Formats: sequence, C-alpha cells, structure tokens
Amino acid sequence: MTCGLDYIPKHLHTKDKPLIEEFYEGEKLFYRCKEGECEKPYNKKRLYDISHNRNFCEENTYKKDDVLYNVIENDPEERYQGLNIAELKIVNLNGSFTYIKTIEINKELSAIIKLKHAPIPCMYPHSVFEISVNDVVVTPDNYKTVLDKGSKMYKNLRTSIRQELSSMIQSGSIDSDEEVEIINEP
Amino acid sequence: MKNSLEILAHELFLQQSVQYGQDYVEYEPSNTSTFNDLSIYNLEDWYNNLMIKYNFLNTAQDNYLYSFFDALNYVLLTINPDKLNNIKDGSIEGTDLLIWRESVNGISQLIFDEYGQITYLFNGNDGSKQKGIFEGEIDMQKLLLRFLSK
Repeated sequence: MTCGLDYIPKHLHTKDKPLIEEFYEGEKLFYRCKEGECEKPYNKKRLYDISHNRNFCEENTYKKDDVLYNVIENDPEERYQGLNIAELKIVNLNGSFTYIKTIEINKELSAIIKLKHAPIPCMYPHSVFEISVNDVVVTPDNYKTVLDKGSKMYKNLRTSIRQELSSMIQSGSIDSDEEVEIINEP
Repeated sequence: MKNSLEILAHELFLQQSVQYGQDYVEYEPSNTSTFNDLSIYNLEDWYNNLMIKYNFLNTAQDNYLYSFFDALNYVLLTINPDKLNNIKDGSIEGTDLLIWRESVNGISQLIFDEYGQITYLFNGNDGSKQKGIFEGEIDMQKLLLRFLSK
C-alpha cells in the first residue's frame, strides 16, 4: 500500500502497518460531515459509504482533523473546506473486539452493522461501518439489489440501520448495549 | 370522557408550565403566535406547500398527512406554540415525507412512507432510541402527542 500524495503526513501512510481488528473502549472515531448533517446525519445518505477515522486511543498521533485530508489522487484540493467533524467515543463494546449490531426484521431478513478498520494507502486510521444483509456485504455495486429493494420489509430495514447510525452521531457515543425500545401503540 | 386531543393539549400545557414556569402563566394566546416558521394563520399554507413540494406523495401518504395536519391544527389553537421547537420537513429516498423536530432531549421523526406506513423514531441525545411502525387505522392524535412530548 503506497501513498503517492506528498501532503499526507508520513505517519498516516499505511505502508506496512498492520490491520488492527480490535477497537477499544475509550477510543474515538471522527466523521466528516456537512453543516447540519452532523445533527441530522445519514437521513439521505446511501448506506454503503459510511467511513470514519479511528484514533487508536492515541490523540496526539491520530488527530481529529486528519479526517479532512483529501485522499483522492489527482484532485487539487488537499483538505476538505467548510466541513464539520463529528466525534464518536466508544463507551461500551460489551466484551466484543468491535461494535457489532444485529437488526432483525423477521426470520428471513436481517442486517449486521460492524465497525471495521479498513486502512487505505494514504489513510491508515480509515475505518468503516460495514453493513451486511443476510450475510452479503453491501457495496456501491450491489446496493440496489441487496439493500435498496422496493418492499416494505427492506424499507423498514433501511430505516432501522439509519436510526442506529444517526443515533451514534447524535449522541457522540457507541454503546453495544443500547437497544431500541419498540413502540407498539401510538 | 376527554378525547385524546384534549388529553394532548392538557399534557402539553402541563409540560410547558413546568418547563417555562412564570413565562407560561403570563402567556395570552393570540392569533399571531408562531410555531417558529409555522403560525396559526399559515398552518393551512404550510400544509398546501407540503402537498406541492412533495408532489410524489401517494393517496395513503396524503391521507395521513391531512390527518396529522388536522390534529396539529387543533393543538396550535390550544397551546402556546412559541414554546415548542421547530417542526421541519424533508424527504428520504425521494419517496418518503419526513416531519421532524428537535428538542432538548433529542430528535423526534415521523416518516410517511410510500407503503402506507408511518414510522415514529426518537433518538435521544443520551443514546436512547425508540421506534414504532404504524399502518391502517392510526390514532393520529396519540401519535402527535408522542411526537410533541419528547
């Protein structure tokens, strides 16, 4: 993994650094968002490109505003301008090595949201909330056929996934034990 | 027996009395009170604008929205609308109407979707979450109470 962007600090280059699958309670994630999107996040966003930077609990090395570096090659902008940064703190992983949340619509349809370290050449701390539906990982290529299906069941699944993700941004915390209270009567 | 709109108005009055104390006691309803960008005068305009702005809404969504508007119209004539937070609108996935409001406790959302469902969501600032999916005969007044109460 070689980074060809000179303006990215060397310590952020992935090079030979290892994949760290384990996340830690107390660790922070940083999410880049437009003004207003931080308060009402993910409502309009497609559910596959949800990326963050992690800080490995090393605040002085992996800084919050590193998430503003543009890692797209051949793009004149070195840093994203005019964007806000949402900060999420992992408060409880319930004994697991990472955040994993299962959302079950019925016996035939369920999704798993999993926080994963996903380094890219110019951004070692890059991480994602990976979403899989019935064990198939959602990607830009299969989004339409795997998650964006036109039925009530899939609509409700997407809504539930958005609620999980937006709640984390809104509260600024990641807690594996926090469950949705289901309301049966208005 | 009180109907649910009376209960709604009463509960909101109590909440506001506690929250705003003396200010609320001194409040005198007037026809020019605003619900931030909504007002008692222009609530009908707001509803009509929604119908124009979100012209993709189907019959089920239209009916639910009218029912919501009807319940809200009653409430606005009964309580101090200045003391409630913004109600905003938007759309999700191009087919759903989203009505949402933010309070000191968190964000409440009502999603009127193309399948004739209304989904109520509440995300608390403390990380708490509530969800309810309703369809068919929905008691809109109770749902409005839930939407406005948090």
